[in-house]
Amino acid sequence: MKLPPTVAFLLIASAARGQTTGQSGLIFVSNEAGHSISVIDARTGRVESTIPVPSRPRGIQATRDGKFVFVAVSEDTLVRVARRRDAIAVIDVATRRVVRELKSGTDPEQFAVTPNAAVIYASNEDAGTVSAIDVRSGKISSTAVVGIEPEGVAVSPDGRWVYITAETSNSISVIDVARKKVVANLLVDARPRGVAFSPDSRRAYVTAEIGGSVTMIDVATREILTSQPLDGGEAKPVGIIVSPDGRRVYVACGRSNAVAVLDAQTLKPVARVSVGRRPWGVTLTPNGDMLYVANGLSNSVSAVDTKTLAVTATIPVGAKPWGLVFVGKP
Amino acid sequence: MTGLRNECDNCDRRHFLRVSACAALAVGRWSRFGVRAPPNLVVLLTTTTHGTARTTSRDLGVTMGFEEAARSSRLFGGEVRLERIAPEQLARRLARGTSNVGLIGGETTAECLALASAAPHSPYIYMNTLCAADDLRGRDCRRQMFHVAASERMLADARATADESTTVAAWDASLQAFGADTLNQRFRARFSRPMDGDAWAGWFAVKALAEGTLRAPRPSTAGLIAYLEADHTGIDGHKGRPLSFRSWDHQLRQPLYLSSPARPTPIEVPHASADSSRDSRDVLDTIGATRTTSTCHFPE
Repeated sequence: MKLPPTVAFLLIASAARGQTTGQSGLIFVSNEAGHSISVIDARTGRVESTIPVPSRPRGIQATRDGKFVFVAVSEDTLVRVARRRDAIAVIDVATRRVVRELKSGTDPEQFAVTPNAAVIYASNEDAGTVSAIDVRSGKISSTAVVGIEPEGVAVSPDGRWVYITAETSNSISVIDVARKKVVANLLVDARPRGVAFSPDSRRAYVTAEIGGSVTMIDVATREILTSQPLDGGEAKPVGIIVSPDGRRVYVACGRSNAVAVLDAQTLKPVARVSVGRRPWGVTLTPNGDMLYVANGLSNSVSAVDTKTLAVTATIPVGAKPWGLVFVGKP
Repeated sequence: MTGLRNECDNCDRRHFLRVSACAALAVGRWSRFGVRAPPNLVVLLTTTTHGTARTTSRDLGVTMGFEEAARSSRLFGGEVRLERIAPEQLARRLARGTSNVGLIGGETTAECLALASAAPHSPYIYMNTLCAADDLRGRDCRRQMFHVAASERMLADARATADESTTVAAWDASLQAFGADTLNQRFRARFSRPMDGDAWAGWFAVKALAEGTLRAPRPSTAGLIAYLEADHTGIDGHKGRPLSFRSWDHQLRQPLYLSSPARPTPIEVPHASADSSRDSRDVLDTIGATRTTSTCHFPE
């Protein structure tokens, strides 16, 4: 669904007046170039605080209880390895402060937290590895070799599997959490980036930025079920998330400046929502009613009502927003 | 779409370092729609007694392309080997080829044409990385020859959009978007020098061969040729669009980069934002010989 220009203009105009998004909670947004985290009050649709972080923040996740937000921070790539301060920063949601830094492998980009918040799996882009970081001790408990230029990481909701995409190798590496090792590698479309599981852990969905597609994988058999090109393969899909009811898949399409809404069973596109420029990260409220999208080149976050698929607010944040996560108010 | 996968119990770091052991284990478990030969590739790089700046750069790209392809292929139970070979030994080496064989080398038009015709009765693919001559894509085209190097026609079409102080290249060390920054960093970290267009061509030639070996439905040189010239094929060269070879002359469709001393960042031609919803192949076909202007007739 492409909105007519007049409708899009009215939506932007209403957003500029700061229309509320109707949800109670906070959205933490990592600003890659701003070296900060913008905290949006979802109810007012305004940034209520900004948290400085030590260096370039990208991947961002929250614990299930909503008490802590983790954010991957990496030094500028020109900083020599010996001087790097690559880490997963831990933000205390109550105080909005960085309270701890977990030492990660080099150049952490994306990561995922196990459902019990015990282990973080972080991709180390330059080393081609994934580190398992024990949250309690802060130590790296194991490191696995995956494809070249690893990027997206997801833990299945049942906590059994970790999927890691690698952009140069066009691979998904499957880590068996119990056995702590890579048990399979799957070849997918060109430049795989984001990966997300269905709530029942039976399906995984992978975006391929250059392949211009979304691929659905059967988690039990590790078979590729289908692959769906978006915008004729020209969409540049990146961030991906599955609705809590498991019926829809939302995909941020960088070059199309839009979010594609897909049927989670067939991958057929059901709608298209125009957002800001170069949308990247996506997050949902726990009930799935609201979708938030980080617009990397517009320095804004779009709030989308998933029932009407209308953009209800466009919220200015810091420079180059990369990822975002919704945290419900306790 | 491919269902290629590898179930490997030994893909951890220890086994990764023990290259041959892991490859052997992985090959035994490799499967795709039933039993098939493992996706193996041999890359032959011709040696030269008169190395130039261009061949040196290209050969570094080939080296990195090989290292990366070997690592990526190993994930799926495939093996990639790189052999450096003197041109005079080529015919005999090609005659005993078993797995997919890709040949890289040459700098002058005569050298490139000779390598494309080195062993008429042996199956191999020649990847032209440095020769721009239009005749290699026209009158002298070969079914087993693919051109990563941009043609004279493509270079002229790109240059026509700029002033005279401008240089045209297939790559620029300052590129950032769509993973260009990570490729540039990897090359600089590996060789302590910036990646240029010739190094990119060497790197991409190996990547295309290795990816074709993994994805081609048939494990043979004929299968690899069919994959590389297929309309639906798209290979990531870190240039922001899926790259493919024109079926009519085997020229790689690719953006080129215009730079001049006055401009800190290069200009992409065709520009990345041009017709963002249009098929990448159509956009990239705006530079170089078209299907109708091409003079290539592949000898069968």
